[in-house]
Amino acid sequence: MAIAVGLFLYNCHYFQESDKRQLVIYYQGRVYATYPLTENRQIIFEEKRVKHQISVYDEQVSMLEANCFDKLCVRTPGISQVGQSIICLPHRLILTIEDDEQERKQRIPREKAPNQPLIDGLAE
Amino acid sequence: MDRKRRKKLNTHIKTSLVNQLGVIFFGLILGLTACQVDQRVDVNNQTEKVKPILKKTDIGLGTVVTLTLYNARPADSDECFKLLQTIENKLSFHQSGSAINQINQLAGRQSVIVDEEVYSLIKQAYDYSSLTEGHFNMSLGPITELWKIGTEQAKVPKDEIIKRKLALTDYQLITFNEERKSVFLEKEGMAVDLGGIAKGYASQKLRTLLSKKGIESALIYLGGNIEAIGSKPDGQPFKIGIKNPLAEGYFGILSLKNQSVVTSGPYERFFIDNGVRYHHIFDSQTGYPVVNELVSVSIIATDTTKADALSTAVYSMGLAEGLRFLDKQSAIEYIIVTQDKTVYCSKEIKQYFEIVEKGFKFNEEE
Repeated sequence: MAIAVGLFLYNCHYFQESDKRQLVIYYQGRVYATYPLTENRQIIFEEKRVKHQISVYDEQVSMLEANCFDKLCVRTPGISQVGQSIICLPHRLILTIEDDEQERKQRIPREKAPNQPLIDGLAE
Repeated sequence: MDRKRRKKLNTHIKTSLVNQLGVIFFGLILGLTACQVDQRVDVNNQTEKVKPILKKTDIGLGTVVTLTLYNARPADSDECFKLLQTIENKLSFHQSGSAINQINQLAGRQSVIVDEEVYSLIKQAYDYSSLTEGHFNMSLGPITELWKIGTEQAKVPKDEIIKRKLALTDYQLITFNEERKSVFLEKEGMAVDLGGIAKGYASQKLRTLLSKKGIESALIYLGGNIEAIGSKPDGQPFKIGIKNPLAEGYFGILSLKNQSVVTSGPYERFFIDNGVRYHHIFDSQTGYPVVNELVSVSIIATDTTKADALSTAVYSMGLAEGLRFLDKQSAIEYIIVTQDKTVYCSKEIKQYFEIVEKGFKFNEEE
């Protein structure tokens, strides 16, 4: 019985407490770098003429600045949930949040606009 | 903040230790626990591990692709993106060596034999061009190349150049050889552009691939197009927001099962020059962006390629002609929005669609 309780606690702990969310930066189709979401930092991304300034602050990732022509990535709201992304199409740069946890129940990331009900996807 | 985290970590280690002792003890009594077996499999075979929800975003076909797969392996999504790459290699307008690029390069000079897949897709594009009387025009390449909307070089071309290029956009000047599976553009300077259906086509190919893999439940987002494979694992339909064409967010929610929704509108790709907005849906007759009362057209169908072609075509037709056209089609549902936020939709879709944004209203007169 004690063992069962022990196992139960272990599992609860496993699901709820450990946070292995990480920011993964993909550039030109390849993993460029990964950072834990739990450490605040500013990242300067610079490759040839491609320049981006990324921040990880309070477990949220935002694109602060970019020298792409459409600046859509900078206008994308910050991300914090597994599966969410910020994408710069002109530069083929993707910031995405991944979770390499093995048995963890994934939080279901869903698109949401302010004050609107949750949806599974957006046709645009 | 930092101290808190460290404390959390410390307790984590402590409880983990205690519990791990428990686990080991348990393991000693009963041999192997299921948990340990599971971990071993996982270490050796990370990409083969089935996940309840797998969400992956990447760039494919020159656009943003998000796959949400239920009960799938990471290897499944990897294969999807590989498939998108092979499709792009065949259908790309700019990539030299693609079948489409070869046909365009040899326009006015030589016919090009293409593989069966590309051939049948070009034929399909031709059929949609005639079905919509050129409102979906597969040979608008010379015009889209001129404006370059959606790229850094977007600009308003000289009127006389637009007029000259318009003479090269007649899809009826494309000839097919059924036996050789070859395609020939009769005039030099003509160019077929499958950009209007490539996404829809690719989405259908992903559906086929995923069904072969035994995945019964998935949502494909391909550059704004949505394809639902089955329903959510609990049997509920996917809730799909339809983009608010006049602001951020969405104006309505569609319940979708095993169907696709493709939305077209002038807000998708555009640029502003001298205070005038130019968008990416062109009028085949004038060579300029379409100007009418519509702000958004969504087509709901099982045939995503067709939905892709028709959403553009109906947008170009405008309200009256678009509605007349849609009435004649079978197995095609629609949601159309005009500038004054009136929503026109097919009868069958009404029970699956609700407006959630203030100001938008269903059309009353019917």
